Amino acid sequence: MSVPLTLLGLLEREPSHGYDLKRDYDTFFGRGRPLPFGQVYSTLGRLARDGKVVISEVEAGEGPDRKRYVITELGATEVDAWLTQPVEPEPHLQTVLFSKVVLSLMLDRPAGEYLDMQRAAHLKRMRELQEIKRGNDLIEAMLADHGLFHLEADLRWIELTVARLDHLAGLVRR
Amino acid sequence: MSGPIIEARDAALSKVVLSLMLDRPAGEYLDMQRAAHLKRMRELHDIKEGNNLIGTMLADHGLFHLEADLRWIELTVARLDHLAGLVRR
Repeated sequence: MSVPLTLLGLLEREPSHGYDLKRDYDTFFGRGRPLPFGQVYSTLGRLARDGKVVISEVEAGEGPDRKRYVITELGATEVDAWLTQPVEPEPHLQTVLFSKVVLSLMLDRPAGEYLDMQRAAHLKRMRELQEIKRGNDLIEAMLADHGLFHLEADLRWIELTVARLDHLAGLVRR
Repeated sequence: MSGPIIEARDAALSKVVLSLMLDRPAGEYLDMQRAAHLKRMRELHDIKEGNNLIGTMLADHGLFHLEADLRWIELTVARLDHLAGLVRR
């Protein structure tokens, strides 16, 4: 979803070759999932087709790496719009946790046991994230903190749900 | 964490990093993001007024996760200078 916009943003910084774009993407935006070269070039191809980048020069030699990509006015406008728009906050009222609890109650299964197991799994993951934070890498720490805060949010919700189980069971059982 | 939460995190972090790379006001983006979150939290509070248990449980889940995002936004604001030093050339 944000790969084309991120590549455009990197080109807003300076005109670049596909190889350099991939390197910068992987370093700052890949989160451990490198962008395949094929996707870099197919994305650049679509951006060129849509008039958001142009190919400024083709250097001697062969292959896609000879091309240097330059952002256009249209592309720059798109980057600007993207960077000044907030990410949609929790657009959907839905959660897998909730579905599992409701379904367990409907099927007369032990929903409380499921929540205990989920709590244990969350706590284990939180300990792993705390370990990652010891690593002293800022971006890794930012990702770990994000995970920790959201795991804590789930834990709060799990506790509240344990307290509401009887009431909920009365609603969903026939 | 579920897919949408990770996607939102990656989109937000990408915007922050790219803003810093392009010497744009990353703090302003985070202010806007905070405002969007607070607006959504008010909507979820309205859902809870409805007095329906299922609606309330889903709204609570959303509220807790929006609060988690807000904590992360505050921490990111505090880390902006450090992060800028890493991503700028």
